[in-house]
Amino acid sequence: MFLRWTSHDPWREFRALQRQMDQMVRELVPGAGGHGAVAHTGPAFNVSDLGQSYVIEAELPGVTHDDLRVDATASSLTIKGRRDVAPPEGYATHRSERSTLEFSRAFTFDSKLDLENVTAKLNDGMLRIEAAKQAMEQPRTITVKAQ
Amino acid sequence: MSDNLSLQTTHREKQGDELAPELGSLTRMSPAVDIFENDEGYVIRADVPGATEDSIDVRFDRGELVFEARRPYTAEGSRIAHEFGAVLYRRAFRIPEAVAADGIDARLSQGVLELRLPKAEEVRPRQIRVHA
Repeated sequence: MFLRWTSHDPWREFRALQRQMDQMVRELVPGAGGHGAVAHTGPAFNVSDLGQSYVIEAELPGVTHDDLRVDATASSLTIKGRRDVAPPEGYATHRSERSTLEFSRAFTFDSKLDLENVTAKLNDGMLRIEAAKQAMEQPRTITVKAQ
Repeated sequence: MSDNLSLQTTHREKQGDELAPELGSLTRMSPAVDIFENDEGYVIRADVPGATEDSIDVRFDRGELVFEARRPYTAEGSRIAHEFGAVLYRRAFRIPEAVAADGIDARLSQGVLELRLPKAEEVRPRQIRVHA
C-alpha cells in the first residue's frame, strides 16, 4: 500500500485536467493556441450508402495528396491527414483562425468492402472515397413469380 | 504594423435566398481566415472546401472587402452520417489602410482562397476578377 502510494504522481491528475481544459479552449475558440496548435476538432465527413457501394466525403482544405493516407480493410476505412499553416515569407501574422490540422477518422461498415474497387479522389479541398461492396453484400431485387 | 484590421462578418447581411435563389438549401458559413500583412500589402487566406471557381465573388468598395463563394452539394443514396451540405461562404472585412483595388488578386487552390491586396494611396470601388 505504501509502495503504491509513493509511485503515485500527485500531479498526474492535475496535468490531465489541464490538458482537458486546453483542449476545451481550443475547441471553443477557433485559432486559440496560436501557431503550432493542433486542432482537435477534425474535418467534417459525410457517409452515404449507394446500395452497390459506400461513399465517404470530407472537407479537407489545404490538405495535399502527399499528406493524406487512406487504409482499407474488408469492414473499415481509416483516413489520416495533416496540413501545416504558415505565413507567406516576409509577412507578419495579423489574424490566425485556420489551424494546423492533424486528424484520423475511422469508419466501419455493415457490408464487406471489395478492396479491389476502392477509389479516392481529392479535388478543390474535398475528398471523395467510393468503396464498392463485395458482390455477396450488394442488394438484389428478387423477382416475385406468380404461382 | 497596424493592428486595427477589423473583421465584420455581420456587416451588410443578406438572406441566403436573396443571394442565391436557385440554391435555397445553402447554409451560410463564415469560413476561417488567416490575415497576413507587410509593408507591401495584405494576404488573406480562407478555407472554402469545394467552392467552385465561377462562384467566387470578391468586391472591394470604400475600404470594405467582401468575398463570397458557393459549394454545391447533392446528397446521394441513403445517409449514414452527414456533417456538411451545400454552403454559401461569406466574410466581410474593413481594411484600415488604402488598397490599390485594381491590384487585388484572388486565387483558389485546394479549397483555399487566397486574396492579395497591395497597399496604395487611393481607394475606389471595382469588381475583382478571379484567376484560375
